[in-house]
Amino acid sequence: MNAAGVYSVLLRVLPRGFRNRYGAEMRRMFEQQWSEAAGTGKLTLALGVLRDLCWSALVVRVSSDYATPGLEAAGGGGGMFTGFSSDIRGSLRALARRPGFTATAVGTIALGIGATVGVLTVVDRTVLRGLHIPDQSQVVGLWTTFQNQPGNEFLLSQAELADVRSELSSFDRVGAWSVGVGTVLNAASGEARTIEVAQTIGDIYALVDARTVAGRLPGPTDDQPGAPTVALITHEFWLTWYGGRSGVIGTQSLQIGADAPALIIGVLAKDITLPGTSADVWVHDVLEPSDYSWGRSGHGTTVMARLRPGATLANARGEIDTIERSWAKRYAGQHSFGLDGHQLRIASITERVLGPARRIALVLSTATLLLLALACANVANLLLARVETRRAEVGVRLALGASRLRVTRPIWIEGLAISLAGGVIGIVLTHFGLPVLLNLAPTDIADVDLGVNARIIAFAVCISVLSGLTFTLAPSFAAARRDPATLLRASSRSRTSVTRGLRILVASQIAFATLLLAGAVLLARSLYELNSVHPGFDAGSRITLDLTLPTPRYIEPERAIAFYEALRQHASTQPGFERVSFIRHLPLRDAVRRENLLREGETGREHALGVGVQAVGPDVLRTLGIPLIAGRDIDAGDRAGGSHVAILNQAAARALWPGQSAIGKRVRAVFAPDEHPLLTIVGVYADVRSAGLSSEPTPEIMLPVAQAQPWGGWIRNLTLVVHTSGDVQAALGAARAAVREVDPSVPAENPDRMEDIVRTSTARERFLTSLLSVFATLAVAIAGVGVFGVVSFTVARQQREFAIRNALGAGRAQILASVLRINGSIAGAGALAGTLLAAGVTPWLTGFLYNVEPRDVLVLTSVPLSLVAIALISSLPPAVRATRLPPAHLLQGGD
Amino acid sequence: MSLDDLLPLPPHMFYVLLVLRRGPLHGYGIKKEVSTQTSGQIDLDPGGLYRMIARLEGRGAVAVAAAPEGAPADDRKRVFYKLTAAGEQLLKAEGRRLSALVSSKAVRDLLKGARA
Repeated sequence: MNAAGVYSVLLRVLPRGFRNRYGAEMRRMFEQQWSEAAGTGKLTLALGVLRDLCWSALVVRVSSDYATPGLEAAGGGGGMFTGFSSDIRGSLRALARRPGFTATAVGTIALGIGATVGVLTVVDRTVLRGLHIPDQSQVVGLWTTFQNQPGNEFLLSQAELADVRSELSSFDRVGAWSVGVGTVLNAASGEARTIEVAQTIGDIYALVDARTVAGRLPGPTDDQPGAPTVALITHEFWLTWYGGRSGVIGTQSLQIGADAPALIIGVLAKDITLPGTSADVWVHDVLEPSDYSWGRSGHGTTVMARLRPGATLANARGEIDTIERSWAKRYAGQHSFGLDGHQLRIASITERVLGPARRIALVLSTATLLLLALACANVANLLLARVETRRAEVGVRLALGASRLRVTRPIWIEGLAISLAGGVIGIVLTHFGLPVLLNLAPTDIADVDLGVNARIIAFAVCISVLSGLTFTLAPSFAAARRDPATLLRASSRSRTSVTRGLRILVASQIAFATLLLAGAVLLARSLYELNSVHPGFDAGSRITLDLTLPTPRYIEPERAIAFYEALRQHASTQPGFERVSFIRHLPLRDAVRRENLLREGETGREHALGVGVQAVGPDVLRTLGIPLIAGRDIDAGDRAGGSHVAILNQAAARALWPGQSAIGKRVRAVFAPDEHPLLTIVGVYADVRSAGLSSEPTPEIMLPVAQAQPWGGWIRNLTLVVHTSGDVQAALGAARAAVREVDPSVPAENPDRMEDIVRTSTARERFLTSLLSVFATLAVAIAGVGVFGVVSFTVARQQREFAIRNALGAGRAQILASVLRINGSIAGAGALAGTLLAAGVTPWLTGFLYNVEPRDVLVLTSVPLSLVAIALISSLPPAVRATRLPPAHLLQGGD
Repeated sequence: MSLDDLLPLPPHMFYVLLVLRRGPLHGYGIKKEVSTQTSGQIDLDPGGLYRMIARLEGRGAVAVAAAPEGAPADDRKRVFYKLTAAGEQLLKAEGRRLSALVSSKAVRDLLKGARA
């Protein structure tokens, strides 16, 4: 193609009218210029031509100088904005004249945009931002699994970490941490606080790109034997506990474990975190063989590693598979990878930390965008209906020579006005609605800062405009495609393809709404069932307070036990405190420690029973309202030096001695030191749902704190439980005061009511149910509007037909009935499709449903029937409106 | 749209009308003449020129004309434009405006270099 040919193609950017009239001459002029230009002159000419054409294309369309009759007759000229202001006024007036239509359209878009902005805000903040890890694609996380505990994930033990570091060559950096607690004491005010401590090992600082704003990072000198224990504090902790003061470096106010207080050597920069934890302090730890020579279990270490350049995840997996076999041989007889179905797993760090959240985000985003698309389709429909009723007016204008642009402009303006108004309302809805929704969210989601900011608003405006353009497209094509003659003829021949398309639209909206509503109803029922479950204890009038005994003062178990006894005695004297006791792992909140138990005289792991182990204070059953089935509760008489006792729950008693009484029998705690005597069972209590309201109770054993000396570290964190008879709020204050009076250096934290703890344990389920309910409501609303819109449209089309039928003697009621019948069948089809879809999809919800079948017959019949009813109700107003118009009016085909 | 809208004429438009006064020209001819008249300072592009022609034609200042006598053979296929009577009025009006401007005391002082 030569230059002139290219120019002809480029001319197409100009409007047709202008192009038809002047295009040929322009091309000739260009040809002459081109032949006269030489060398670089041609390049200059080409660039100039591009600029010239682009600018001309814009100017000719916009300026009213080119809206001359001559150009318009040639098929379209300029003047895009001629009469713009009068069109705006006209469109806005038209919208105001039909408040019902306008409110419906704006409301629908507001719902769609509000939902979209809301969901995408959450998605953006939680999963799109990524992790602060350099070389993220090369960083992996490691964890372990046990074949006999499918679905559960575990961390690594220190021995296993040592093996990973020394023997796997796929990584050039390995870092790890384990989480524990410590205490800080404000010497001046006497205030004590529990802190979350991460013991960091290895190359972790480089892996997470840790930087300090003060002080330094740990280095080789801190790894030397005999070097003091050093620690970094996080930026947030520095601000909240130390008030952002300088001079923190070099102090030793952090007490972790049994050793001397840790030396603070640096303050971390803002936003530096270990993925998945919220530790306040990072204590530098060096892994030595003595740390794990006592055994290879104890899976408490989180491990991250960076793949060596050139190594892939597949390489690393292959290497792990190979080495697992050699480990299994080397560590035969002990606990190791490759033995007893214990596997080492590896995945990219992004997948590990963000994977599940990203999957949810994907599902939510898809659902929301679908909702928005349906909302747009609805408004397109409503606008189409209006265009139908203005057919004659449009026909006249076209016949008089108006360009299609001018004729469709009012429609565009209406569409954009609706979408912008809907967008603004949607943003407002999101801004106020999102925090409300998140109030119900489990804390790991709710922690994210979710203010609506400029970026989100810009995004919302964009999708508003895009939606507006989308749903204005169809109506404007419909208006302008036809030639004037067809428009002026009051034709009532229904175009089957358009009608069928609309019917499919309505049916699919109803199907979608059915699906979401079915899911929401199932979850709601499940939540109701869950809330009716009795946890096994009495949560009313009970309060809890977490205690963390600081070291080194309470290093010796006897001192801890003495403290608890003193506290119990002191607290029992408080007015309103009916009963006071302690428990190590609070049911429904804490995970229970798991260990193994053997009956007296048995050996061999195959006989061991896995149990949950609790350390408890005297009278714990009565304090928590747990029914005693046999024998007695732990009481104050069970102390050091006395006979060692324990109580079992029913599940444990049945498992160990089926059909017999467990009272008086003895068990051996495999996890106890060898010289530990056998435990005599003195009581059996009713099962408690410790792991969650939806989890079946598992075997459990409770030991008295006073006899828990071998596990001094374990009993330094107990939860005080009080059964009060007075005001709960006051009781919480009194409990804290009581602790302070016994020892002010003991942090007493997380004051809570047992009822709140029970409620919070279902937070996830409640959140999910609320979320799905919101979606379902939106979908139903949009489906309702959809039906309304389609019926409006088809009824507007069939005006003449109705008039004829009326004139032929059909009563209003009969016409109404036929409209309802047609819509009822469309809605029925949609509801049926939705039900079938739901039957297929809801089994995915099984994991979230408690005591409810995913294919519950009641739900799967009532939901579609309700939607058909809603659809019929929605179709009433336009159908009634059509039958109200007097016959003569309809025959004239006007509006 | 009236012709007065166009006043004061932009320089490009003034020169286009000026060269058309001498006789009908087609697009490339207008461009060449204007370039000559302004010693190359004004170089018209096809888009810009024909937009100008559209505006002038819409107001009746120029009109399509037959090819003049003596035009080369292949030029005869092209579209020629001529200045109409209304267009001539417009051009004169601008000429008078420019003349008055140049004769004004302020501009004379400016060109003499004296302070106004």
